[in-house]
Amino acid sequence: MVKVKKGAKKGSSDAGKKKLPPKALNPFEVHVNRQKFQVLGRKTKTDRGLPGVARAKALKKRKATLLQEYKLKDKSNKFVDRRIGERNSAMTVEDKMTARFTAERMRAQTRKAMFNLADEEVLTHRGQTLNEIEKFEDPRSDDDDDEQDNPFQAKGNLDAEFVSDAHFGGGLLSRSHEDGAKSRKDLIDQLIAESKKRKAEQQKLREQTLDLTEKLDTDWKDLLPIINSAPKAAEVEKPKPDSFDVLMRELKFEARGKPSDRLKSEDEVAKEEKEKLEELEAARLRRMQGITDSSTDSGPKHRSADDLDDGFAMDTDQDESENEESQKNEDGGSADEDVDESDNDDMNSERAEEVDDGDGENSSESEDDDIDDLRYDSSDNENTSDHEEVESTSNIAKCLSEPHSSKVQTGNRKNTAALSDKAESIREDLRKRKELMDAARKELPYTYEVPSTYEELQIVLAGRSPEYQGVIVERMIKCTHPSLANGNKEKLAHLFTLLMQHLHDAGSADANENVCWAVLDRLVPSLFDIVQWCPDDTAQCIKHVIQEKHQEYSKSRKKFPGVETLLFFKLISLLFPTSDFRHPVVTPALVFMGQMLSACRLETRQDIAKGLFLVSLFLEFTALSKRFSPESVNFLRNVLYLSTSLPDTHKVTSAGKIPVVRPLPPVKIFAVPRFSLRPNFGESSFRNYEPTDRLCASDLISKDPVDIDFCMTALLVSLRALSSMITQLSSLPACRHIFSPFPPLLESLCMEDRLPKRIKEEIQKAQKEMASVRETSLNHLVSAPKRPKPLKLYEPNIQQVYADGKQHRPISKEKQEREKLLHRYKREKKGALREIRKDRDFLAKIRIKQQLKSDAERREKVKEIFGHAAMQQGEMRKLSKGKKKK
Amino acid sequence: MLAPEPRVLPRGRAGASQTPTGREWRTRLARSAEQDRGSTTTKMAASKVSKKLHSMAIDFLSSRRNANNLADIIAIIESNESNIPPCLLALEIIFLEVLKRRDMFLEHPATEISNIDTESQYRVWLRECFDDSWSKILAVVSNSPKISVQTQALSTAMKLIAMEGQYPLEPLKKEEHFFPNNRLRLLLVAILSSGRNGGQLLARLQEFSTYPDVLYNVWKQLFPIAIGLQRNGQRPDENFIRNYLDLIDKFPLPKPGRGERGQDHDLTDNLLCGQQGHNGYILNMDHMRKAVNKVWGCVMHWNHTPATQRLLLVVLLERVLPFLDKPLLLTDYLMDSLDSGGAISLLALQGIFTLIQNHNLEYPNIFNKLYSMFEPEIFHTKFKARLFYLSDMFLSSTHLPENIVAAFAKRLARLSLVAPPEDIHIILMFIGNLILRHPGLKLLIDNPNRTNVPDDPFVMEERDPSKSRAMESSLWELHALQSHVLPGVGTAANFIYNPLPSVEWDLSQILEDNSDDIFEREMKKKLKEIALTFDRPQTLSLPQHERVSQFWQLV
Repeated sequence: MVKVKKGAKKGSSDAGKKKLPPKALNPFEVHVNRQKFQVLGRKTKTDRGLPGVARAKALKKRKATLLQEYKLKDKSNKFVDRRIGERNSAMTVEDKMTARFTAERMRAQTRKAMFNLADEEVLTHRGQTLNEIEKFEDPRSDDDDDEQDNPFQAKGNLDAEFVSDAHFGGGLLSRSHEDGAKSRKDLIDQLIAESKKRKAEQQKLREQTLDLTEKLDTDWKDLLPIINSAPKAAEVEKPKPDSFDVLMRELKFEARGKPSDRLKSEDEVAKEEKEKLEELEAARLRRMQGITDSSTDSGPKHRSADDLDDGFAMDTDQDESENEESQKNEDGGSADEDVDESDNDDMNSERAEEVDDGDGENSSESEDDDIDDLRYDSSDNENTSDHEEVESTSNIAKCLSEPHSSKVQTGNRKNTAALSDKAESIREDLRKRKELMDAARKELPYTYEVPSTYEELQIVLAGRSPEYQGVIVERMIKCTHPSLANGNKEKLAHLFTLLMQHLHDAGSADANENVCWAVLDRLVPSLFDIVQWCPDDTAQCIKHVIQEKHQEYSKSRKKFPGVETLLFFKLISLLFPTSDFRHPVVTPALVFMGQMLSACRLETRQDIAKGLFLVSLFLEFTALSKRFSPESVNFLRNVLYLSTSLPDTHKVTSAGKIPVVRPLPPVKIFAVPRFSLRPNFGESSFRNYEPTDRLCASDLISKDPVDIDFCMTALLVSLRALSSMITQLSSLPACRHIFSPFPPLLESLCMEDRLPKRIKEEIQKAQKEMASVRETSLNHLVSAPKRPKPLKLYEPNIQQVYADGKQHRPISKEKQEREKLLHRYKREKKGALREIRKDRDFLAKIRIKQQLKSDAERREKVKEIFGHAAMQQGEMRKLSKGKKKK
Repeated sequence: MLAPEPRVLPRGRAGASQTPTGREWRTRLARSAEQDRGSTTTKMAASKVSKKLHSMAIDFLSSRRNANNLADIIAIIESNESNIPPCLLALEIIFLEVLKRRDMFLEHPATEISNIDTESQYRVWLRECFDDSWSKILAVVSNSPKISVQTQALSTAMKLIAMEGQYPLEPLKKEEHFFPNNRLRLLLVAILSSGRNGGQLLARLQEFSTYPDVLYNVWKQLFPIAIGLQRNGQRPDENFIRNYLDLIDKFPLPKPGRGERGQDHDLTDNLLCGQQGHNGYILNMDHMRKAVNKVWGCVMHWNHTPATQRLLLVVLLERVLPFLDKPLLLTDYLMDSLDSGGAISLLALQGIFTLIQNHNLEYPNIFNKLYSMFEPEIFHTKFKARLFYLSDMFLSSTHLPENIVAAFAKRLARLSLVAPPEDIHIILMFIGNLILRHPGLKLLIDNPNRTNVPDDPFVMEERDPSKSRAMESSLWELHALQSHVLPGVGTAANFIYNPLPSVEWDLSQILEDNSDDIFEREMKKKLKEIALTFDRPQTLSLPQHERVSQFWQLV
């Protein structure tokens, strides 16, 4: 009964904690917030409140906190209750008592422990601590015994029958049953003997079972292998599959035939090749455009409804013309080949090899071929295999080129005729090289390890001619082709850095003049391959090189850096597309080149040569993108200024004919120029002098003073560069402004009669270019037409309305978060203000209460005193009356 | 006697000199011995000499019997170049101590002394020695070939001045502040006439410019120095002028306008020569202003080379101009400088601008002058940023005639065709700002008539911006810049095709850019993938569009 009651009470108290007890609800205390709309399933917390209760609660809390503080205000000392558990509301009174008691005991303990030495001794038994012993680690468990039927017997105790006989009634009850009367003593003796015997038996039995189990265990272990193997073999007796099943399974698991690529015809191969190239070219053009989409004059293109966005009409005019041009070049080459086919086979093969290389630059097929060849080579050590390879590929190439070229042949006859001269010379050159290469190929070993340090590379390359170096590096790369092993790419990237160092050293060693260019010439294909395989690493490497060179340069800004720096710029133009709008390698290089051109002094022959080299590099970098660099224009201006005869110009200007063109810094105007490119004609005329067309690599390093040959060649080269620059930029409307200083310069050059004919021609050509630029009329700039405002649509402005009545504006996550926080802040602020106000009211009430109380006290006191005084007065009066009476 | 109060001199060099202990002197001598980097033997000899000198100085101070040591030391200073530093040190030791003991103190001037007792005789002799060694020290300052020795002599001289200021040689008349002005003037003359090394000496002297009394007295002495030269009929040479201007530059007057005009600054602490008992030192700003005006009147009339004139203008603009009484008198000078071209005219322009801004100068042709400053050479001077800053200020008015502003825009655009990339950036933003300020200039980038012209109507050679017909032209140059080799410039020039922003570009951020910054920026730019060429080159020449080998025979 009692238990049940308790349980019930507990349950009810639990419920009471969760819900308000119904009896406490006084309907007059409840305030109900009326809901405007009833929404099903919505739970509201604030539908009813108990203002009275809440107020009482708040008041109580204030009394506990604020009032205490108020009382302690302006008091310097305070009482702190340090009794254990006094502040901990979680502890019951009993807990507090126990805690205090233990603390008391502890204190007593610690005081004694100072003198109690034996406390920490560890008790042992037979060398073992008691703790260890009490672990009860007996391997033989008693479980076996417990399992026996009669637990009492097992432990050698008397059996129940005997006990019941002997104990109850002192054995007298049984005595009547048994005939042979035995004395009690006998009985007990017998009892003891029996007990002992049973114990002994028990002991024996246990030992036996132990022995047996041990034996069984050992036997089992012996048997174990037999059991595991034997039954399996016996079990796998399966019926033999018949031939049908075998066949079916075979058919089931046979690999499905994949549709293999059809063997492509030559046309298709060529077409594919062309498409690939076109695609790459298109990508390049896109990169060249950069982000200049908005700068197109034509405005938005018309798009028809049928436009499929397949990029069908994307070719611009310029694009097309370029494609044509490049095609022309290619075709021209192949057509030549046809013409000359009969007279030299050798050359054909070499040309074919080139084609092959060009084809195979990315397709793994041909590379695999190469590697196969290589393996073949290395195993057989056959020197002629290379030749065979060349021949075989040449045949293929011939087949490839024939149909293609024959198609275009008719159309391009004229072009080929014009180009053939140049092509002839180049081919001659190539053939010579080819022979050298072949010789090199024959002599050198076929496999090379990629060296890990620069010293090792130097050991391999030192003393070799550039051709040999080229072959060696080529073979190194073939041996560590990225498809051969896993880490090969890294090795190649490392090799690239080593080669950069090699080039650098070749360039900076001024012992032999042309060697660095020759080395670069031979290494370029290999470097190209490496760059194709690991563009990121190599680009990083080249960037590092440029940065280093730039740091070197910034130490002495007025001097041109060494040839090796120019070498790297040339290498960049070979490896990276210079036409890109922005390129991580090319753009810094351009900045660097511009810095040099605009800052370096022109004082020696070297300076002129290096500057002109940079100008030609600028031309090359911008050949496709048709971009414009003020630095190179300025440099040409300065060079031409230096070549014009200064006093002469003055003379002419005094006649008012040609305006003076001032040079730009770093070149300065001097009455007597510090350095001049003006050829010192002396008396003789050079009208029939034939200047060389091109500057020489040795000019970059020679320390000779300027001679007439150099003057002429430099002048010629700069004039040619000028005209090609003008043609390059002729599409710009501001072209005439860019080149505005040049007409006077050219004119004053023209005044010099003794210049060679060739130079005069160039001058005239440049003048003609300028004139044609000036002839075109200028269109005023017009900004892109504004897009027409979209028509107003008279459709209903539909906004989504959500159930919660809030507006869901599309705002970003951060804003949303911010708004949420702001909202919360506002609410908190309101709440805090309200609380503060209530606190103030509370305190005011307290104060007024105190005031009233003290007033009342005072009044009481005053009353009392008055009372006393009145009484005294009364008594006085009484007394005086009494006296009077008397 | 009053105990010397330890005071902190700049860099704490002179601080230890008040009460030198034996060990300190030894280390100092060792240091000065190190300064002579000769062979080991000379070093040994030098250290021996310095030790000897040091012991002589100590002996001198310990008793008067060794009085002749002083004369010996003064004699030694002239004997050998390498002996100068230890001699200077010895003299410093002696006279600092002597000044502190007031051994040279005389109640009356030496000439009036009637009773010749040994004590006053000794004192007079000491004074003579002091004057003698002072002149020796100054000779070292102005003539020694070694800059280290010169600076050492300078610091010795300053220490002696400080000590003498503290313990004057003669009784003071009133509660006045004493500063050994004669010595300071001689020292300044010595420094100014020390030729090329003057700059470094002045840099050392500049450390003392934090003391208001030094600053005041230096300015006070500047005018007598200048006048003294003229009286002697000497013409100051270039180095002297440079040093003089440098000195003015390094001793800037306290900024006016902190309180009322000409307010005196009361500075009691932090004096170089603060005597005990005198605790009110007042920096008289009116005296200072007077000194500045007098000095400047002198300096302006010297013969200036272009370099010193540039320096003069810089000093004028940055230090002196706010203190001049009648700055408008400078107008003619500035006008003349304006015509000399280059950096000088630029600085003169800045001066005129200040005059226009603060002193109501009216100058009609100022825009023509400014216009003529934009020449291609301007990009290679170091005052480029100043020019752009100034012209931005000049052209900031929105009430300027449009054709003038258009002429500026057009001229700048022309210049941008030959400018280095960092300047193109500035020019582009400059032109953009001009167009923003003067909406009429939009015609330059958006001409609705779309007419063709045979040639650019703009006349570059015209000196008058209003006659350059810029409004009839268009900014084709900016169109050309869109295809500049550098992508940054290309994109910056694109603004002519985009709608203009509502707020002007901030020029100040890019005014100090240089091409190395551009290089670094381009180096740091990372693109996702690195594009490669797809034509495999067989030789040095590109398969297509080869240009280099057209001009070069490389292999």
